[in-house]
Amino acid sequence: MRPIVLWVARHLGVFRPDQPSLWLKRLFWLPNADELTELTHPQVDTRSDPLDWLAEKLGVIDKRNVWQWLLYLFIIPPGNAARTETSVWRTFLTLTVNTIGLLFLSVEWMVLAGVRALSWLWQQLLSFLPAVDHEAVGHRLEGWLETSSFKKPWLLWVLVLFSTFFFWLIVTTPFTWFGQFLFLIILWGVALFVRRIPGNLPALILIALSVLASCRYGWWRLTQTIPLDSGWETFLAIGLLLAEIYTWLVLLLGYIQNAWPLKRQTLSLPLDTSLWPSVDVFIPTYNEPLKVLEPTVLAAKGIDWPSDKLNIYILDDGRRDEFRRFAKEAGVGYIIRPDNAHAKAGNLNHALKLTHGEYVAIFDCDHLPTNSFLRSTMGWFFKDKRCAMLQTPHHFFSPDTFERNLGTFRRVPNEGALFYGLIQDGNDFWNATFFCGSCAVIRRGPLEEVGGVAVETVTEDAHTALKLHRLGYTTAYINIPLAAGLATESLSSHIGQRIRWARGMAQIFRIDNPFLGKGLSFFQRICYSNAMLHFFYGIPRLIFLTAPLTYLYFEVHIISAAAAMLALYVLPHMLQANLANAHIQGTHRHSFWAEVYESVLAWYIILPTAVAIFNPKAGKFNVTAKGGLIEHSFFDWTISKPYIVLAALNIVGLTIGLGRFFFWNTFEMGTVLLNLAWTAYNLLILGAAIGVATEARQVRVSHRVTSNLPVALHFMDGSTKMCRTEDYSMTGLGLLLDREFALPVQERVWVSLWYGEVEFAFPARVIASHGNKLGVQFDNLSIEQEANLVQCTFARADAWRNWSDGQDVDRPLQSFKEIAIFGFKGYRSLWRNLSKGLARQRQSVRGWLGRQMI
Amino acid sequence: MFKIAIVSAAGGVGRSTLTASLATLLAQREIAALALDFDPQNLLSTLLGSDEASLGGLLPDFLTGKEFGKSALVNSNEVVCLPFGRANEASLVTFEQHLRAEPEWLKKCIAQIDYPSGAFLLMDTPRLPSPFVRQAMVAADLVLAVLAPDVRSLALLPAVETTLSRCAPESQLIYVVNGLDSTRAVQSDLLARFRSTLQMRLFPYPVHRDEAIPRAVANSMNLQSLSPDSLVAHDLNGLLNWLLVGPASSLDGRVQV
Repeated sequence: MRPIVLWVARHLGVFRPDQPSLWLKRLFWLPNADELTELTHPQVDTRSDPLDWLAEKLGVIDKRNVWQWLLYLFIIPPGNAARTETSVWRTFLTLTVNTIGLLFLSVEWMVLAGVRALSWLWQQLLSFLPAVDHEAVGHRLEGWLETSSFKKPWLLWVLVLFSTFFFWLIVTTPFTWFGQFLFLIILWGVALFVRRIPGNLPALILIALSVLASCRYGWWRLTQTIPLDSGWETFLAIGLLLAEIYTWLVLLLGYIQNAWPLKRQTLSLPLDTSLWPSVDVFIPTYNEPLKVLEPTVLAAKGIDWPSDKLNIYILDDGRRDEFRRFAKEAGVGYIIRPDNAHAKAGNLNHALKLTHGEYVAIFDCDHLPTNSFLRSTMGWFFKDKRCAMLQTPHHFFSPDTFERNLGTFRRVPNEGALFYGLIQDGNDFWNATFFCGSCAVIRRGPLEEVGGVAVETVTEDAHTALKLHRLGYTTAYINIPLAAGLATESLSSHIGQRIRWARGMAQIFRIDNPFLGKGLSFFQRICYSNAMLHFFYGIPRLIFLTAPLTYLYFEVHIISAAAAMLALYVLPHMLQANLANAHIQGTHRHSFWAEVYESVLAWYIILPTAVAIFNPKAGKFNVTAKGGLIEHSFFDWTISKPYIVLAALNIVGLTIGLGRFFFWNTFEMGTVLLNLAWTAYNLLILGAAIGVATEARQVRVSHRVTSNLPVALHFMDGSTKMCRTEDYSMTGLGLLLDREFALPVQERVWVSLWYGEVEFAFPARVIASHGNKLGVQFDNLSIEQEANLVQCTFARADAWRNWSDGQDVDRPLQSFKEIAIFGFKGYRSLWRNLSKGLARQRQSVRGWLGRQMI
Repeated sequence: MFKIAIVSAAGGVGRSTLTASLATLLAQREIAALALDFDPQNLLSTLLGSDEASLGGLLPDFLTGKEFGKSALVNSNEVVCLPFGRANEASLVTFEQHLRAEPEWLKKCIAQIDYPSGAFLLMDTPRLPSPFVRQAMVAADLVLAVLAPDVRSLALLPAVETTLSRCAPESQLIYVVNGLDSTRAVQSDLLARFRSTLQMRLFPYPVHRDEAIPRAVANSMNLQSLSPDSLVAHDLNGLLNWLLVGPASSLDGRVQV
């Protein structure tokens, strides 16, 4: 009997058969590694107290301590059980942390329930209203404007005169609270109706309504609400007022900039290829690894253009032998220079002197052009002989920091989407498309005329475009992603990049101000100014994040008006601006996200922009790092410090505010409530900003691009299988088969991909096989094979065509809900990391003390 | 009835296999398919699942004066196959002489067959030059010239066209590469040569070499049910789809794809 029991025990992994608890445990748990090693030295022990086992498992050291049992049973999850002696204090701390977490969760739940109830009510309300065919209204509106009676110039002038008069009247007439309330309701109602009409005309109507509401608010703010009695109150009030004037100005300029996005299409080229110009492709690099540059060069080589008219050059400011060898192997030019003066701009200018193509296409070393890049872009240079530069969007196939850390990749438009999706198209209408440093074609003649790429500022690209515009050249923008690259990989490098842009824009604003100087049209000046002013949001944003605190802390009234009146004036302004922007920006930016993006950067761009304004020559050029990986998730304490301080200030303010509401300031509850709501909103935005600082793990060296391409698998026995890709990267493929299919790992296979009708087969090895999914890794591809691979994947003409199809449309309420959830999550993550950090600190302090005693 | 002659200048390029596979796939789609073996080797019926080479066939029928098509066989996939039949040297010589004297013999015989108008007739032939091929070309609406991705096919490339222009200049000619092993660089290069030489006359998607075909033949099973996701099944289905929407699309009463 005993040998059988022992045999069963051994096979179950029960290394102490006399211990009943272990039998129980082995039946339900798998043995872990330590126990398995122990298994080799079976020993008979008499200890058999199940309580002991439980205590050990849970991490309870002192069995008589009730606190510890409580702590480990209900609070600390078993995985985290730190086997250290714990005190009542620590238990208390953990309890607090968890209670606060629970509080967050319940508040989150309540808010969500509230939102849901409200939206249900709204739906009910809507169902009572008659249905309107918005499309028909749109057609009628447009048809009406097309009628000949509207084409008379004098009528137009009369209309302009009338509308100016009425505009002035509406903006300056003081209303009672009820009048203002009606104004709010009517404007809002009209906007809700208009925004459903398709086309660009309603956008203009919404813009007009928004400008009306904002101007009315501004007028009221300027004439009625500035406290002029005590000194320091006035000082703060003026500060807030200036911040508001700034946002008002940027709002208005933005409306002009984006009034009528051009949405340029591609133009076909002449059939006779001998007429096509010669193009030099410049790929500047400084410190990026070869594996980042390699696909770019191979993709550039595959660009569909007569081969005698396409020259590719690697401009290596790092002067690396490895790169020289690669250039030789790939059959492309390699240019270096003796110094690194003026960084990328200098590098490009140096190459300009050594090359002779009629056009120059510039790609950052991580931007892979698709093979249709030149065919899709060059047509405009044939049509418009004054066209000096054509820009295409910067498309990123890896998630940027926000997308990765908040998990919004391909769902919510990213920070760049607004610029490349809307602003550049808007600029294009006014002939003010900026050069963005990469994925662009420039005509050599004009570029040399302005002295090459500008070197006076750190954003050489925008400055070069400005110089071209000053000479009367035109620029163009095609909003079709024809090249794709990697986004910045960490929050710190993301911020570094934005700081550079902000500084460069401030420099241009200072040394070559678009409002001064010759050669620009009025609207070009507006577009450039708005682009530059945009980067001065640092201080205004901080003012908005702290403004309600002045009242909550010190009871200072920086807006001298009754709370209800302020709400009635500010609400139409904010509502209309939101509605208009949501309509214009639609798929390119979701509501409230701009606040998050700006809040993350606000603190960091204040100093660089300020320095650049006062001393444009100060500071160095910093390179944006890309293609790295983050091995462990971590919380970036250094970067998030400003938001944490701001959040702490706001939380204290919120607490004081609650006190004011219930005890101290019950005579002006409205004011307290308004400030509390403002603080709560600020807290949500700050929470989302803190959430971004929780760096999620990023392990893949080469990014995988989700796609659905046909693939053929060739097995060693001569049989084959068709399947489709789930994703691809430079190193391997994820495959999806029709049926379950098991393959041994390390099995050699060939995988075929198609480029048009042409098939390319690549040697590969199976690295994972699970169900109907298969992972293969390429096996020592030759440089030619790599080039073919790039052509079949990253460089396909339609590779990035339908990228943003999966994105949700902007629904302001939905978007606000999402931001609110991210806000809560941000605080939760902050708490977790805080408690983790505290525990670590306590441990290290204890360890240090212990060492001292010995 | 849409009539396709499957021909080639080089031997061993897989004409019979291609004919059998296409006929089976057509039958699978419930499109009536008649595979006609016009090659004295008399192999098509074997590839279509007959246990041994058929004794009866169109040659014995011709010699004994029977009606054309009497000895057709039907396999379990509903493919109708008219074998060539066992032939000795003397009868073959007689037959060839008759074919030389009457270039439209096969065309006339086919015209007598009472077959639905949406049906397909696939004619397997010996390699060029041969009176059999000329007869099939005259009878066909479409000539499918099979190429192997090797130097022989490249060298013999003009042969099919020359023959066709002499005996049936109105027929449409399409080249298809069969038995491509895309993992071999040489074959891919040759394919590129064919592409640049033939341009639009080459069916853009080659048919790959695949173990699935011999395996299906050895097991007397059809390709579609044995390895539906194999590359060759994909290729052949692509070729059929192209035929159905392209050259064969003008047929009336065709069963739905």
